[in-house]
Amino acid sequence: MSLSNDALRTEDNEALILYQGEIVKFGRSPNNFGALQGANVEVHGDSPICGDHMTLYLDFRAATVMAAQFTSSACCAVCKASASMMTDVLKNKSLIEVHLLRRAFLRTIEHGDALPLDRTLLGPLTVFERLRHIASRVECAMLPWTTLDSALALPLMTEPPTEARRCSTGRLDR
Amino acid sequence: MEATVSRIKEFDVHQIRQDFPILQQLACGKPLVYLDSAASSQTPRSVIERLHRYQSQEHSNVHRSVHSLGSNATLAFEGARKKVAEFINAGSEKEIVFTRGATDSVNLVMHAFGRKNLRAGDEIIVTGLEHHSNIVPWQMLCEEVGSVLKVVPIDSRGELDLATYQKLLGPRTRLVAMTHVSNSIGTVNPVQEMIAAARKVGAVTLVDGAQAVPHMPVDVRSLECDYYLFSGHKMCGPTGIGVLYTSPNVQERMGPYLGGGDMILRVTFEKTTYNVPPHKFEAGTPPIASAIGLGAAVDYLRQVGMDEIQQYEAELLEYALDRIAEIDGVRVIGTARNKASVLSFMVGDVHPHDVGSLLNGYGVAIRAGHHCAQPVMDHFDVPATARASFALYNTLDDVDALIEGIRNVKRILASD
Repeated sequence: MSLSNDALRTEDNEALILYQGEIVKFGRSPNNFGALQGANVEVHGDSPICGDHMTLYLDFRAATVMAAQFTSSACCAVCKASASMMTDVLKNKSLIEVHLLRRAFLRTIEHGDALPLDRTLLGPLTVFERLRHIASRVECAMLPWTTLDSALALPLMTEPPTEARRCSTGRLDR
Repeated sequence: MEATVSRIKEFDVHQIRQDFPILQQLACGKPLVYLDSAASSQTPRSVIERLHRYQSQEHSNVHRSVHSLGSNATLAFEGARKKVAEFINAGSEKEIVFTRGATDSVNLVMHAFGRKNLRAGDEIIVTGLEHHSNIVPWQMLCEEVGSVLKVVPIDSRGELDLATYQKLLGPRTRLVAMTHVSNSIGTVNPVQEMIAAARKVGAVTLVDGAQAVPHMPVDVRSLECDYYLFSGHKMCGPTGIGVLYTSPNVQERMGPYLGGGDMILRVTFEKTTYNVPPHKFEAGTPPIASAIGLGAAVDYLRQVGMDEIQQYEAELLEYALDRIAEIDGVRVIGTARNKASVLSFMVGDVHPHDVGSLLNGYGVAIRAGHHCAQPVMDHFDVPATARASFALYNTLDDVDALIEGIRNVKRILASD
């Protein structure tokens, strides 16, 4: 199976197609993996259904995400791929842009197909349309985003804190 | 392996498979390989037809009506109770309480026996292998009455540390709650020995048999336990029905569980007199169809033979353990010397949910998760496992499909 392209084999079904292209690529070797030095937001996310745990680190200044990274001690490939691609796309995004992205992702997951404008916004993240037939894995892809929800819900800080802010998140209503 | 195969052939699993309509279908475009019977077993045609016949021709409420339908429904319902009693060799059908499932059975004991008999400082012993349903109710009871929960540890194989168990038993031990077979890793516990030890200190014993009754002969009088419980849907029966065996010894020490109709003899505004067991513990209209379906499931399992099922599944598990050992980087979680029908494993560093999803793509249905046994996962330092569990209708070909699927999982996701 090629990891470099997203070509689908005709004999494969939805469960196997899920693990092709970017999802398997970033599920195995995620970008932005590791604690972020200088992060001023650190949020833990847990999925009670999967038992997945992750930590999202943001360098958030002047209402802009300057950098985003994550760590996970027990996340599946779908969750790691989602976190990898999310942290890629968050970089240098303003708070408003982050909210638009978040909304586009949730809408895509909810409806199974990205709207044309959302597709442009999400770019490679549209690959998660594949979850439309695999409801049991939606929570896995959502964990980074619900963790991001918690990060954004924290009060904004104009100065870097002396200590990273921590909170835990579980499943949030979409 | 030669001897194993020949004995398996005698069991005629292919004939048995014909009894299970659901096994004839495709999953993800491939022949369904169902290896999740520890979560819920499949249903033979005889049970499906019995449910259909009851619901389409015989249904009425039980215990109340004088019309023919009502009388016949009562006869069928109480007949199912008798079948269950015989199946586990209870002394009488009066010792069989129908519940909603194994979880409900544990909660019934917690409320009806625990709250009435346990006090601050009393001790409850559970094992490190329990399903959450045999932990949480006891924690709730401890919170309420001030009792103390003690845990029998497990070793690296996933076997109970019986020396520590003996030390935990003492004059304040009121209840020992133990699983017969671990749902997460398949360890078969020496419950007879543990019950005997508990009886010596005067403790009441409860055995969670949800993973045992479908896979081996169970004789509650030989075990000499006070409570033995299980679920219908894990033994080829319907959902929504469970069993709580209550020995005569403990029945008289129990208060009521839920209040309502059927569990009373007489009600006035001044006082209610409770019915006798088992009805005292069965308030409201019971799951009549499910109970009758459970009776049909008992008929089916007895017809196949529990000794035969146990032997066949042991050979299947042995074959699966041999085959999975051929794959580098696969770790079996739980290697107890006495193990039943459950194979928990990790595929390298691949998360069990990915293992389960990918196997599903190859038509193999397994369970991935913590199996409602998080303390067991913590013990083995894993967040979850992939779990294949076998039943009487599984074949060597099913095992081969699992192994082939695991090889594909490794190819797609495992680190080099």
